[in-house]
Amino acid sequence: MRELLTKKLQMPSDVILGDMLLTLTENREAIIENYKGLITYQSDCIVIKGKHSTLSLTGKGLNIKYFTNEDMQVEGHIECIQYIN
Amino acid sequence: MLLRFFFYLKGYFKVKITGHSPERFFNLCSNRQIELRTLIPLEDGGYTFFIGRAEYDEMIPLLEKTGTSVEILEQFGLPYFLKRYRKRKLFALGFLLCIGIVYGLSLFVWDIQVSGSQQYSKEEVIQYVEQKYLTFGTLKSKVDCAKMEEELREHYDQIAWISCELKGTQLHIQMKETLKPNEDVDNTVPCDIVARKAGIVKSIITRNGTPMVKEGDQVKKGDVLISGTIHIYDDTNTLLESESINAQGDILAQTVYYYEDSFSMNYYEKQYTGQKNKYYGLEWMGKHYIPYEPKNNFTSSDQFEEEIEVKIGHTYSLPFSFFRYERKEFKPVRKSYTKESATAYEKQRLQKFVDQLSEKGVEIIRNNVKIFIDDETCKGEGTITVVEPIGKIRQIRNNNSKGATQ
Repeated sequence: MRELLTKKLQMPSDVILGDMLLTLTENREAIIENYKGLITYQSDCIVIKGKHSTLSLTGKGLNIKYFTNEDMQVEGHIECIQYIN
Repeated sequence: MLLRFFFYLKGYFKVKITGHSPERFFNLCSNRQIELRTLIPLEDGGYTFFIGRAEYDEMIPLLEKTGTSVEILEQFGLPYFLKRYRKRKLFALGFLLCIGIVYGLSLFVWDIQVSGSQQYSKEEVIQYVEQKYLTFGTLKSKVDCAKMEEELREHYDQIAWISCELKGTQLHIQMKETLKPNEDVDNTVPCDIVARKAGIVKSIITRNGTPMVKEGDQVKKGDVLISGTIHIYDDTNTLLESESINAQGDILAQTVYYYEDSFSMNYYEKQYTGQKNKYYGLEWMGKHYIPYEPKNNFTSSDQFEEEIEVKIGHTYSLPFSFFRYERKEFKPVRKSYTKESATAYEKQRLQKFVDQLSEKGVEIIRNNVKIFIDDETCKGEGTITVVEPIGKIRQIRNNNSKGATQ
């Protein structure tokens, strides 16, 4: 119901539904917002939990440039982005 | 950039954590609004990151909760920098004093630059400015550029535009001179246009007055070309009235310049022997100091002087400069021009004369200069035919006569 209202009224889904936001710069940087927490952090795999889904970033030399309660930035060579439900 | 600066001001650590559930620890930190920077996983399972000094204290209870251990690897920031160099207070004081001195010196004018001036030499303008307004070492706040511009414009009447600007410790004066000298011609004064030299009229354009010559006429110096006197006749050709007006027009005529120039075939050339003396000096507040000047043992020598200005950047001149002096010995060797080289040299001098004429707006028609060479002298002699303006204003003395018969 909420999803239908958000779609019909064209409201931002990250605010209303709590969707996770992912902003990519080529395959070098990723900024993630609206997440709940970090599940796994290794240099070849980062798994982040959101409200509705779980995001997995795999690659080489991954490191977190900053990590706050609002957003985080991942740098490195990102090879695969996967949503795990 | 600003955030990084504040981060530095407060101080921060590079720490390493190890434990069973580091991800839980990171999540707890983010929930408590603790920011972690440059979080890098290590091969042994630990992580390194940067954290602010104040946030490190907030993080301690979370370490105990998650069973994570922490180790401070490095300390950064202003508090730790000051602690590290607390025994170097004099160095810091000297550094601050140096900055203070440079700042203090930057409040004064140490250099005057003049550009765009052709009729007036730069030294003349600088000397005038120094006498009237400011000398080296004047406070910049006392310099009134607007007033200086106005007074310079009044003093130098050939200036069309002038700008005075303070840049750093330099005063920049930019000038633009008028294309022609101001003749202050009064258009109400009755006058004729007369020939200032002899020639053959090539073209005559009359804007005001009565033309007295036409194309092809031979005129001599003083002949009236355009008359400012207008005669008014009645139907019976009786002169009713004569009126004097301001004659205006342009007259071009073919004239002749006589060229004569000579120089000796023998001359002395300087051959430098390679022997030289170098010494240095300092200029401080307009005074020269030379600590050591070697004795001049050369029979004949040239002295070269080079100023090395001391500046910070392009516009912050400091109140002192260095001078490098060089004395080079030479032997004067008597030489003679060959016929070819003498001819080439005379042609060069002739070309310079022709260029000077061309700069005045004169059109060169014919060059009949011949070069004569004997054992002692090389001489260039002849005529150069040109087309140039020959009109000159001459005031009319007697005005308005009436009723005369033609």
